[in-house]
Amino acid sequence: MSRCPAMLLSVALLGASVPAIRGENTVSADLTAIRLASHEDGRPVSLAGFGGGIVVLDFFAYWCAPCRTVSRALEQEVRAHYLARGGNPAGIPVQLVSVNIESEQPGLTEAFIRETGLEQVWHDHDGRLYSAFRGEGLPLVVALDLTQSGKVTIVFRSSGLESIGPLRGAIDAIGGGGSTGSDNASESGPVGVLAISAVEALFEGNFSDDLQLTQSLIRYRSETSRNAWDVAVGLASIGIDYRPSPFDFLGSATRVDELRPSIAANVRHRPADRWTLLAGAGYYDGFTDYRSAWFNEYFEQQFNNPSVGTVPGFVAADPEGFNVSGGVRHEYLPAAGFIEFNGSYQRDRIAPGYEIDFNGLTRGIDLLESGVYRLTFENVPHRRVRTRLDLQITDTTERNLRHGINGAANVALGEAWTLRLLAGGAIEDPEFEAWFAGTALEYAVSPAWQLFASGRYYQDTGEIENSLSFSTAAPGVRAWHAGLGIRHVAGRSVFKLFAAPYFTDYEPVDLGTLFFANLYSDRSWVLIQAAWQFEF
Amino acid sequence: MPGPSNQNRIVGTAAGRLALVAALLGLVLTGCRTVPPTEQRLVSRPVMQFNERPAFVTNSSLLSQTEPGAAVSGGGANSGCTSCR
Repeated sequence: MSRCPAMLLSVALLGASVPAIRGENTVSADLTAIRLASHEDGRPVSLAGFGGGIVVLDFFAYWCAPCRTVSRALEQEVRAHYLARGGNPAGIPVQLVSVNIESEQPGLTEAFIRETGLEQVWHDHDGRLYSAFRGEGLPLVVALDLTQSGKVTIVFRSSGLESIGPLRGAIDAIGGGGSTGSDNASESGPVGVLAISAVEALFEGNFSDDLQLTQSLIRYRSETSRNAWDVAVGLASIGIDYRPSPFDFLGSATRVDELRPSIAANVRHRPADRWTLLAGAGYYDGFTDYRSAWFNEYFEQQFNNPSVGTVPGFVAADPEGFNVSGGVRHEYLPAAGFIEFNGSYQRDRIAPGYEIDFNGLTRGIDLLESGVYRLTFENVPHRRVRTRLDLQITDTTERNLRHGINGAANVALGEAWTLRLLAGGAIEDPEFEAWFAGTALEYAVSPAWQLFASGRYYQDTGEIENSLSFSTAAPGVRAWHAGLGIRHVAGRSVFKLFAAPYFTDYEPVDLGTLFFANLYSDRSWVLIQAAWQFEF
Repeated sequence: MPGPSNQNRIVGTAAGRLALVAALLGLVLTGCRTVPPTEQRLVSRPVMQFNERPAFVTNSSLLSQTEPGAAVSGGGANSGCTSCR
């Protein structure tokens, strides 16, 4: 099947969802003529050998993470379950066959079979049997009724498997037996939802002589075939060795330390095979960046200084914000391409700017509302290439629309080499332009150890002037970094460490921003990242 | 200092450039071909995916403080292995 970009949006909007097959569906008996190879001894095998019985096919590949959970559960909750009972309630024998569709890396397939405890494995390396069931993803689970001579009936088919219960229900109904397949009615114990859960932790730091920025995050996530959710708590810190401008006669050098706790959660639900609904929300309390904290200190020293008192009109800042988002994703190419629309609303109470004249102190706007609308395409145009394109529009209080674009391509250069490419930019009236480009090259020394080099360049024309005559807007900046990292995979645990020198080079400040010459000075930074994840 | 009309022309040129880049990238990145799951071994490696799992991504959230024009990502749930359910 081939669909070109001009068709994609219309396909997505009209909808081309193919529902999963549930209930009875008779297929050609030619299915039994497809010959595969047994993993045990390589002998030819086919479904014809199961005449008179029930067969559950579990299509898997070693690289499919959900397959690991599903295959293990099928062995325990289907094979063992029906073996112990001598078949389904009508006494019909039930067989489980795990079908491997991957021909490369047989050692990794062997490890998958061993770790999941698969008893009966067939190889479908050319995907003939998989294609016969119109497979659109992995794992693919199919239950077949072969009790009637010359007839093959699909009683259950699912891309992904949310739980064992519905599968057991379909099996138990064959031959007039009663259904015992409800999710929590197993005699061998509860048949729960098949979920992959993980904990992720991240620490990032960016340090220069006078600025110390950190971000720590812990996230828990849980995913099933149709539902996923995650919740993350974070703590960011900003440390500033504040130095006033030489022209700032009210200013004094001091130390500024700020913390920003945050929490965010996302949920995802797949009501149909190719449709996914998305929602999220988040909250933070504190300064979002070091420049806001710097400005706040400047205004505090100007208008809330113990030596001159508090200027009427000055209010201490208490920045915080929240966001909510919602979206929808449609797979316009089964398992190979999707389009996603996401809209979010963000409300930020910021540390405002101030202006003083003969009329007194004027406090700038301190409440920003933003609407962010993003359209994302992700695609697998080649078996070695995955691409992504983000188009974004941001509408913020008293600002013109900001248009952003971000394109990325990940290329598998070989078994051990991966190249990542990234480029993007943003524009906003009247005169803001930004662009960036980056790359990363990864090399797998072994399945357990990976090395990578990563670099990026960024440039913009300077931020939009604010509405006050006294400007805090950043002048144009160039920034770049290049560093090295290492990743270690040990079973279900992954650890990553990355470090890079990072440089920011600002254009000279003008008269409007002269008081922030120390803020907008060139800096050399050290950027570090440490991350860990563990899958249950 | 350019006047308003000159500014509009500058902005119009920039917007036009961005639209052109978006169109070209769209053509290149969205593709025309379905790669079946049986051929997705390489693109299903964790390092080949676009997600926010910190052990595998190389971008830094801290850089948005110094690179305000690059803050494109964020928001709702992100993508995973397209062939994995």
